[in-house]
Amino acid sequence: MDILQNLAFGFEHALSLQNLLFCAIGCVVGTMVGMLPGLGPMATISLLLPMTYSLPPVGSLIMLAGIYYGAQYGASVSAITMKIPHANSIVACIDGYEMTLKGKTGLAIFTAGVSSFIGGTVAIVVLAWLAPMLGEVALLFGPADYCALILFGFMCMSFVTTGSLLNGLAMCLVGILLGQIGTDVISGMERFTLNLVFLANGAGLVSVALGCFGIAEIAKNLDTRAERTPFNGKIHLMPTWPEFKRIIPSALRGSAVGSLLGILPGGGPVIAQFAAYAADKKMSKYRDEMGKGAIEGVAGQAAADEAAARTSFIPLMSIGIPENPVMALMMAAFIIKGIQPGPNMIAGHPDLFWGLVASMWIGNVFLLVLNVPLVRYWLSVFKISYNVLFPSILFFCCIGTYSVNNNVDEVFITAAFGLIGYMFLRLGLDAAPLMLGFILGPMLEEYFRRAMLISRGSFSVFIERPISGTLVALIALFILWQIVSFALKASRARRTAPRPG
Amino acid sequence: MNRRSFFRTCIPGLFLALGITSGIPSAWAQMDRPVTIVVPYAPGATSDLLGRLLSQQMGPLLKRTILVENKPGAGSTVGASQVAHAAPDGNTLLLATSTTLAINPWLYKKLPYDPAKDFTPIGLVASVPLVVIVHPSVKAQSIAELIALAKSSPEPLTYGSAGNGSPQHLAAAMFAAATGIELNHIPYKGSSPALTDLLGEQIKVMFIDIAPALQYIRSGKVRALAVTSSQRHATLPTVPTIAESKAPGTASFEAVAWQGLVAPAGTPAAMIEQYNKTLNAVLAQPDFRKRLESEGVEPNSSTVEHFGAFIKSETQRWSGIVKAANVTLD
Repeated sequence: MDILQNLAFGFEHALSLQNLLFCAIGCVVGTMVGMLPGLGPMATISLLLPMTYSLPPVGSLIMLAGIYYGAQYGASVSAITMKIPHANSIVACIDGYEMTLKGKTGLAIFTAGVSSFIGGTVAIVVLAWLAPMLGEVALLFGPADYCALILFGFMCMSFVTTGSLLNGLAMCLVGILLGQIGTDVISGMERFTLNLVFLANGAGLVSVALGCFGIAEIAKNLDTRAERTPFNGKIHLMPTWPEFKRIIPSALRGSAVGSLLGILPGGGPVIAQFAAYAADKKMSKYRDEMGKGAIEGVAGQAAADEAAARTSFIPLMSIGIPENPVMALMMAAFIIKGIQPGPNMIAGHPDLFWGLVASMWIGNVFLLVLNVPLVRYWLSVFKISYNVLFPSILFFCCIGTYSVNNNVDEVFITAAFGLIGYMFLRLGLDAAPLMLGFILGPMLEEYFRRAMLISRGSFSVFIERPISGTLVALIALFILWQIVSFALKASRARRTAPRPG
Repeated sequence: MNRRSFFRTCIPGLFLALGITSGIPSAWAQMDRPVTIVVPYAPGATSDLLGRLLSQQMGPLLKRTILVENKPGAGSTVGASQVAHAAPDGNTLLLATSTTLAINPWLYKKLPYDPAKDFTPIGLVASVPLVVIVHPSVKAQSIAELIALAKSSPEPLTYGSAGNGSPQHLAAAMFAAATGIELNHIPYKGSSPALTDLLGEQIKVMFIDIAPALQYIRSGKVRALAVTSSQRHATLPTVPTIAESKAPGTASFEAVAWQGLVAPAGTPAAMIEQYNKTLNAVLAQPDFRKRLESEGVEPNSSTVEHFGAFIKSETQRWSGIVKAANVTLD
């Protein structure tokens, strides 16, 4: 087998002492960065990029990649323990944090670790076998197809809502409206910016997510004065066998969803988590527990997120197109090393491509080995008294949001969203659908208007194009099915209800 | 946790934190502060790459650390206004582009900085010619054929750009205005997503920086029809200029984006001179030149005075282009 040979060749490079070290550094730094509020892989990679100038190309790219996927795992940990999400771990705040409140943090973190490992492994198989072919998939998707895909994403809304559906819908719309702030991509006009320069780019995803989840949660803890005791002294780390069995199917579903969405430009890990959560809520045996601290809610997200982070390398390495800002930065790292990512890279720099692929799997093992024994130390976060913990979380939130664009204004935006988020929390409104609307709303608008510009205003593109046609048909079927099943349930309920009189 | 162990662990920590936040920077300020080059675009952009290459090369020559700080946003105005209002002590520089200095004044009614008054020019770094590319399925082998195709096709050809008011958009709009054809503009968030859609044949034409398009031109995934500079480009010697096409209206066509270093107005002239000399020394290195050229960027050095005059003439040129293209923002 060619691919096995290539992988062996890759491992030969990745297993050199030097590259192992780079991989380890990347994973450790990534995990740390992921766990700190707001400080994402983006800021870290751009900070560390200058340091890689003097390093050999394979080593430095292995390290930067390690930071990226290490951060995906770390992000789950901070979402589970402190309800502080990164862009890609918003969903983990729902069930993961519920588990923490039930004193099952150890189990949740273990689940995240194992699921990340499964997700990463699946994605690496995809990457090694299919990268050259799959790159072209991104080219098949036109604006109309993305539009249909995003509409499909909106279907997830009803699944990430834990309370009333109507409230969820309202929050989703609020999110869409918040997403309208900033410069309109199509016309270049500024909307709802109140002539403030710092709003020209819109409210940042990091600011909104940190404000609505982490800061709101801290504020809530301050005003209840009740001592939160999620950590009850007994570390429930290793899952029981029935618990472990629940991780696997959910993680596999998440890996499939994540691998697929990771390849497509635009969304990647951010959308994958919502899709994985929705998939679990529809298909899992334990769907009734979702939203109340189910293992599936953590496993699916962690696997999807990790898988998407790795498959998002596919468009970069096979067709030379960065699909998100982190990949654009990785591309710059390649170019600074004098390597042009693209169709010729796999043939021209096999040591780099296969070394990187192999290192990703080594990193995967490394993250598992590193993190599972460390879970008990992450748990010690709860031993810190709140008057030290909360200010330090806020401190890191400030650094994190500042580092997104090196702009102090972002910190104020985050503070404002902290206030808004606290209000929502007090009113019992869900922030997850808001995030979904905030992420997908502007994307839907952008792709929809672009599709309309290209088709010169004809709606038939959505049906004529095979991809969007299929997706639109699926959406229609899904809605129909929901209505029918609702009607059936209602009529059954009427039949079984005791007759009056 | 009991109170004593809390104090035992946290108080030294607090002092340490205070030390980090207050003590060390003031000690740094007395030593040599690093120079910051503000890049008003996101990491990974051509500008970012140039900034990082410059910091890597100029640092050792100046015997100082040069940091690159990305301040993306609002068509480079966020980063530019920060430098415009920075202390003119020679520690803050801006890697400005044609957009920052010559195009924005014509696009925005209110800019948070004055391109003419707030900056002192240091020197030109590079010019970034654009190349006209089409999807291979488009039946045009030259600019003249493209014009003919646009005139005969029932629906206007679609072209992508890196955004409303970007040099790519303005160059294409000026081309359309000069040759009297109609093109359908599809703006994107940056060149890469637009290029992806061109490769996937969602759009037909693009005016794009050479760097990102180069490998696709070489592999035949897109076809290059012409470059927008007044001379052919070293990396694409077989591709003619637009003016060479001799098509009516293209005789003096030229639309080239560029990048240059500037400092806040009032920076001491001696410092500006030193930066200019260092910059030109870096730009003269054959390795560095080759490096830029392989990225589709033309290294271009100048004296301080030259660059100042160049900015003025370019501001006039882009004013004409913006008017011809009939683009306004806000």
